[in-house]
Amino acid sequence: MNPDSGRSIKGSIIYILVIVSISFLTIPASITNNIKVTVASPLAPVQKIITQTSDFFRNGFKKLASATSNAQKNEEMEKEVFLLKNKIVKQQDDINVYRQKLEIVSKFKKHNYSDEKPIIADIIGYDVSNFRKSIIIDVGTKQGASLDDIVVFGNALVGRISAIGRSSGRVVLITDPASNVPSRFLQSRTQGMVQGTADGTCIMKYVPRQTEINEFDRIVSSGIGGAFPKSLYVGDVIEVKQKNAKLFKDIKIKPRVAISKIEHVLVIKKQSVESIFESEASYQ
Amino acid sequence: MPWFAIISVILCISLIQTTLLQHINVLGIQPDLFIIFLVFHSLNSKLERSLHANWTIGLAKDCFSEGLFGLNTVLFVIVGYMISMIKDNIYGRHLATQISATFLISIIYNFLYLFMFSISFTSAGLLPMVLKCPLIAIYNSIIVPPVFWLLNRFYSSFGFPSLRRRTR
Repeated sequence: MNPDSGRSIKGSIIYILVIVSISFLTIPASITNNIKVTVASPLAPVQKIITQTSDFFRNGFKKLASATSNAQKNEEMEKEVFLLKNKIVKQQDDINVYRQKLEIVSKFKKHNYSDEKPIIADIIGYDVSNFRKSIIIDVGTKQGASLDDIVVFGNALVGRISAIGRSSGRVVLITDPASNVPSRFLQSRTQGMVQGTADGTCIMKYVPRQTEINEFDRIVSSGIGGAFPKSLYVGDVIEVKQKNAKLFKDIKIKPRVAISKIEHVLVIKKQSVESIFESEASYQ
Repeated sequence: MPWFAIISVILCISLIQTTLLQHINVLGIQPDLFIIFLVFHSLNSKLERSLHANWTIGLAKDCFSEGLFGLNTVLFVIVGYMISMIKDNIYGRHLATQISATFLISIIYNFLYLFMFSISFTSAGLLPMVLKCPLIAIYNSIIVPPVFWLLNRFYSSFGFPSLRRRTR
């Protein structure tokens, strides 16, 4: 074989591989998500074992490292406070909603998620990319979860299921740069769009410059669009910037749930979320 | 390098990357073992085999990552080809070369990825992600020596003399 023909073969190999790879980009997301889940599913049990083992050792080291004897008690109390605070925020938001409705109509329909049966899921894996934020959970269609189901932790929003297999699923977190959550401020009720930044924080976009925003203001999901239910705690404002010529404020948000610190999440089924919206719509 | 060894390494890397590396991240950044394996493979294999392997590594990364399916595959073939083109002109067996190649390829890959990402999601805040690129490259470079050593040991234990000679 002469060098020229060898070079042309090498050239054709790279062209073929690039063309095949580019053709992957044109495949619809529904099909590629199925491919991803199908490939990842056989590894899910191994991932679960590794994650549980690492969590066990991590928790063990954490406890050993703790200087005080009340570390465990503190941790439990912190968890309790975390849950109670989330409940308070949710209740505050409910009260706001109810108050506004009372001003317009004389009665309203109570909505909450107590009748739902959320599915408890273990986090068994994380995204391999530094620029994307997603987790793999050990819940799939077998356990009753479905595509676009909402994932929460103690009434705080975590993300949405983007791909689902038989016994595992992928959740796009609210910190993913491609994630958009319609939200509003708890007190002022100003709406905006919470978007991930891939560095563990989020930004709130489209908040008018004249709106008064302070640090530590709380943000909840607005429910607009129907992709996410309303009144779920999203995060707190940690930084507000206002550039002279800009129409909107630059608002940085710390998500309520630090995904690296939790091991379990709750999956709220989409049907039950939809039924809430339907009942509200029929009521109004 | 035989395919079963490549597939085994890819599976191990996928498992480690999706489970353990999340806990040792620094400033929210975790090392990218896929890129390191791509550099290792490209420096130690012939062009044809390297292209096929890089394609497979990229495909594996696509399977375990959110986002456009095929994006990593395209980019891995391209950056792997870049290394294959220059590897005859550099001394690939030296640690400094391996670290430098990993640093450069990490930077190029991450910038290309962000470029493609910005086309897909125009509204995303790109600046924080662009600032992460050098940090990711530094982190990848730092862990090159142990990872390359482990990969060399793995391939040597399977008795591949050609690779042992090349990488020592």
